[in-house]
Amino acid sequence: MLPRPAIGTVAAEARVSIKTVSRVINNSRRVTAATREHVMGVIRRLNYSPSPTARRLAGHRSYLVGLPFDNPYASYVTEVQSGSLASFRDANYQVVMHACDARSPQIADEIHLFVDSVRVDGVILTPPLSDMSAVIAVLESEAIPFVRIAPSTRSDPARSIFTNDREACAAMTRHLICLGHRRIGFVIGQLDHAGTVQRYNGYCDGLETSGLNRSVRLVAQGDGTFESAVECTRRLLEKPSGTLPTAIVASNDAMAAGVLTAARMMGIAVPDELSIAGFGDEPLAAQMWPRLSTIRQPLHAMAQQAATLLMRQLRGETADHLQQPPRLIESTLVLRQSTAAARAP
Amino acid sequence: MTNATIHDVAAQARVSIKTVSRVINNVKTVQPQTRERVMRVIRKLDYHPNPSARGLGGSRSYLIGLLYDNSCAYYATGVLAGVLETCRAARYQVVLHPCDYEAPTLAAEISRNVRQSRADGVIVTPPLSDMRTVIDALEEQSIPFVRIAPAEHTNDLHCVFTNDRESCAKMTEQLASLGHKRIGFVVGNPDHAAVADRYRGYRDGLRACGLQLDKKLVVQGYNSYNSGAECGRKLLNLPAAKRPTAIFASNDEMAAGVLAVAHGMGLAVPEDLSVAGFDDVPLASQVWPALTTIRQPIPVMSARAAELLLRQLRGEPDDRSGHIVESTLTFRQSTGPAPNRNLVDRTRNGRLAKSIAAVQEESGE
Repeated sequence: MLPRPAIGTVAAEARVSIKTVSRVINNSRRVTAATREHVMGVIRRLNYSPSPTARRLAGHRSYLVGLPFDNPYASYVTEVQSGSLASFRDANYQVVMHACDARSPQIADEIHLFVDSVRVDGVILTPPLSDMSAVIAVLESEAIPFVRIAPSTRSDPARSIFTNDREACAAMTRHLICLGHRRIGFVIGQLDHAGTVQRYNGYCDGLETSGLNRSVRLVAQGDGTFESAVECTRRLLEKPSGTLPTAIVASNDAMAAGVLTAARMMGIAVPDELSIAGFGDEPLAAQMWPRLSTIRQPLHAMAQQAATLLMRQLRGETADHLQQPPRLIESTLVLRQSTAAARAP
Repeated sequence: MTNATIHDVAAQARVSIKTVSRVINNVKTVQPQTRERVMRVIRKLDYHPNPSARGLGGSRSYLIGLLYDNSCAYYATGVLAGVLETCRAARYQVVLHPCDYEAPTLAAEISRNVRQSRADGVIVTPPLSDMRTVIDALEEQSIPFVRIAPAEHTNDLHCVFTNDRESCAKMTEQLASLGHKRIGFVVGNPDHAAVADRYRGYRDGLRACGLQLDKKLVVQGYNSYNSGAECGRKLLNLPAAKRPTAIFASNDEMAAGVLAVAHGMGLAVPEDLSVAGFDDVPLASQVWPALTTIRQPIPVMSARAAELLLRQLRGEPDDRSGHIVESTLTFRQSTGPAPNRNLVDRTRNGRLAKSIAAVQEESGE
């Protein structure tokens, strides 16, 4: 980042007091037109911009909230943007989108530049950014309020919105066991997303509470995409018939669609011979055939809550006020036609 | 723009400036009645918090607005990808302006939101890009804009569009060349002019192949999956001899609806029925069988739109070439040759296949 000229530099250059520069910046009426013109000239020449912290102290707001994101799923991005806008709308806040690459070593600088140049009042962080300490450190040092959506730990409850991925996946696994399934496969998603691990752990919990053993032969590692799930499923289903899974849970809906496609290509009937469950309840889930049993992730509601929480911070409500139990919005099972009772052996 | 200041609001509402500021910033310490009164005055005077106080250093905000209808949030996300790509290089950021295209206050809302965000210019997506009120509001406020896929684009320099009509004609011809004589069509939402335009392409295609337009094979959809399923049901419930052997839907979501209905009726796709869509959204390759469709290069179009807008903002002369981005036909597994109507043959082959399987099973295979 370029070094930013300080307000003192502007004052010295314009041969006025710092107080006067500040008055010009804040549009105070107690400055003569000539002085104002003169100071503005220097500000433009030096390309000076007041630090966001200073501006906030001075009571100025941009009414812009930053939504940086690195998420390959259009449905995720769409739900978060529409959910947060539903809250912001009435308060006249607007959302500035910023696509970034969380794996870039410059991610913290990039977020810094973004919040600085747009002069956002606050930021909403989505996974995987909501778990990145470098990003959080930048926002804290700039004193920019932020809220984290679905961080992997419960260590920052005052600024986080949680959901229960893990419990929901355990519940789906138990549901399949209740339907008589004993060999339940799992297709793991993209590993650098915290939710992926939670979902897999939930599957393991579900097996364990029902007294079933985990088997590595029933688990495949995908990368979150439809195509990877097609490959994984082929491997899971190309086994001697006695060891085949009768149900497969996928880490997201696009992957569940991949499982379905692989099953169809191999001539396996769904749900008669194979039950399939996804995660997310994206529009896709209800648009495939058979319609997908899945877990509804309350993204819209989470984003809406995140926006509400952020606005409370922006209004200056104290941290004490914000100390409440973790804000948890539950994921729920949505049972459709892709899951059914296991066929009698 | 009006010039009402916070001082005018305070004077009219008989409160201090601090109170007005508290109302604007939604601070809770303001009495509800006071709040009401101040808000009334704010509306009456059409007061907006002074934008120049919100950003310094010249007139540019380096923000570009994306204007879209709420019901098209997914489409907007696709557009966003292309816009962000272009803006990134130019150090512009993108601010969202969702709206409701059926709201009576649409024009006023757009003016207010764009003014408040201080966006330097906006990109207008369908169906807003076809609405006179929207365009008038932007022109009135002197807000630079570029439209994506408006239906009428012949005499407008500031828009990017694709060849919906020609590519739909081609798809129809392709289906006809596969032997389909009864090709059904699911029309798009009439409010989305470019989508509705695809119907004309279908008719062009029929004409080019010497096929008669049969109105019974044309049904009105509304762009959603559910409306597509509804249309699919109507078409596939026609008596067998009149039923279409191929259905072409104006977008992928509606095509997915048709596909689901076909599965539900036990029709094999593409053996009994070919299905084609338009757009090539991710859904198209995630349904079974993967959809034959027309790839509308939304990110390319929106990146081009952002480029045009940035050129306008820089005051560069308009370049007339390259505002059209071509759509291309993408063939996957949902289309195939028209079914052989010789049912006796098909049954015999079916039985044959079954008996072979039975023999294999008996031999322990």
